[in-house]
Amino acid sequence: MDVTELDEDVMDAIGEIANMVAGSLKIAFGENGQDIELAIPTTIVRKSFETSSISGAHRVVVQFTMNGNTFMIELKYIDSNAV
Amino acid sequence: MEIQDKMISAAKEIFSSMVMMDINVTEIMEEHGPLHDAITGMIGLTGTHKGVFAVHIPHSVAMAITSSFLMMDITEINDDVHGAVGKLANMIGGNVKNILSEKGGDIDLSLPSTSSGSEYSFTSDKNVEKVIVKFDTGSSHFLIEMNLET
Repeated sequence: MDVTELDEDVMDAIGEIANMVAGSLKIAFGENGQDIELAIPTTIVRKSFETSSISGAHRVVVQFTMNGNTFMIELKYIDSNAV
Repeated sequence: MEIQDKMISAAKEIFSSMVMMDINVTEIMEEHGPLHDAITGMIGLTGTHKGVFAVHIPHSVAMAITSSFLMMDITEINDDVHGAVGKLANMIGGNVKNILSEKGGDIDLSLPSTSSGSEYSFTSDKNVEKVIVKFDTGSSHFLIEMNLET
């Protein structure tokens, strides 16, 4: 169906994508002997915003293009051995 | 003890011991609308309880909290404010974790993250039990929110 506004369906879909991509990462880490658990996906929507994480966290951002638009995926983590 | 009681006691403890601010419960809600001129700090929970804990704080209150944390005047939403709100979510979330799980180790917390803007919506998975507590700081209000998978 055609979706033309940022409604709950869109937020659900984006949360689901985050969940699936993180799920793939979880499986990849698991195959490496590193077990991680996922919390639940949350979604934030707005015209303009900034995000931040704790200082000292590793931050990896990958930018993709799709049909001339860009989107990013981002992972923030700390090395639990260092805690 | 109901989940909202645990959230309230965790928040009150952190605010009285770390923020030096008296807070009172205004209401318990199941939904909140779009957030305005606010900053959200959130932290994920996994283990026996799976979900997300978040604090939604108006910019003015967030600056007051950060000023109190750092013992210096904060007048804009900068990295220090993001750091303080993330830390606040981490501390209240950690406190709730210890109340939810007898051994504490049955629940793991993710890193806190923060997000700030002039108007935004915050939502998580549909299949969650949502508890939102609104607090009064004397001059303003803020929300704490727990979404637990059912």
